[in-house]
Amino acid sequence: MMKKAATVVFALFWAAMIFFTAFGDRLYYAFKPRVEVGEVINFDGGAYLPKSAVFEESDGDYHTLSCVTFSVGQIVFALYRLESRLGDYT
Amino acid sequence: MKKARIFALSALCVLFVFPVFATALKSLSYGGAAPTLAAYRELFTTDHTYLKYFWNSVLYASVSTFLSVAISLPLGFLFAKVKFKGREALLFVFIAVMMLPFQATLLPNYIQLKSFNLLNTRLALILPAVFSPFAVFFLRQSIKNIPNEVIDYALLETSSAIKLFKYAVIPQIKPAICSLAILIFCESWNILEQALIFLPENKDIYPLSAVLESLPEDVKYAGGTVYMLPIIMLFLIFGDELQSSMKNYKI
Repeated sequence: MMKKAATVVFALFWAAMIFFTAFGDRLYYAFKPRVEVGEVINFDGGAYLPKSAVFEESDGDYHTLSCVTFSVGQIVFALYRLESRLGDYT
Repeated sequence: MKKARIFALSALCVLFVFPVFATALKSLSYGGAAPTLAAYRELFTTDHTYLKYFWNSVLYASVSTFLSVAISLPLGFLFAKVKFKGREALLFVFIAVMMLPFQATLLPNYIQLKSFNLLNTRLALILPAVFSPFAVFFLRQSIKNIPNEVIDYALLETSSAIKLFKYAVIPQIKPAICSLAILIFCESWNILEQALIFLPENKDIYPLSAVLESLPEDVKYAGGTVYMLPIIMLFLIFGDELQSSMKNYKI
């Protein structure tokens, strides 16, 4: 009984490894928001983002920035909550 | 006296098993939250380098196991059944090398790999593991138990060495081959020093054991649990065969 259970778990383990190797990338990006940034302007110690870079949630405004983890060659987008917004003077 | 022995053995069991359980339990916490699989999600969907190193380990362990068994089988048969001059002296050399810790052969292996330009390649980890004196000794012990009459009869029926192995030798020592494969797989799965010394400039082909310590803190326990799972599963599935072959072949 123990052997059968272990064999089943073993088979499921390898199936999970193969699944995440093939589709882990797609799964990660499937649940992240798509952001299209025209151009970022760095000025006077601050960053000016296009309006399209900001998306609104029920609890505030967010934008994403890229950061590098220990995984070399892979960029991870971190979510930042905007504390304040400047008025649009254009 | 019996109760004291049972208590002492139980305490030893707890001592051995506690780190495994503690790692598995800790892997279910992520950011101090209630038991969750978030650490595994982070490990498999965010960080694909973990899976790259995992498959590196699988490659090294499975190729080393297959080649080691394939090479040790004829050698074991040679030492068990074929009489030739110097057999005992050569066997003594094998046993002596088997007794040496692998650190003693690390430098000669490094020099040989360097002269063959195999450093920083996958073969640097596979080749030293393939030629294992322990595997030869183990199979020799098991092939010794095959009656000589079976070998003689098979030789009468066929003059082919391959057919002799296929029909007379391998069916008799299947449990031993299975046990040896598990032992070599476990040994190759856990290589660390060889990876650090033989692959100094090619971290992309490191086995998983060499990169576990560099995992982020919040997924370290999940990474450790996944690393342990194949070996634990192999032992649960083939544990009986391993024990019986150790007992039958007097290892």
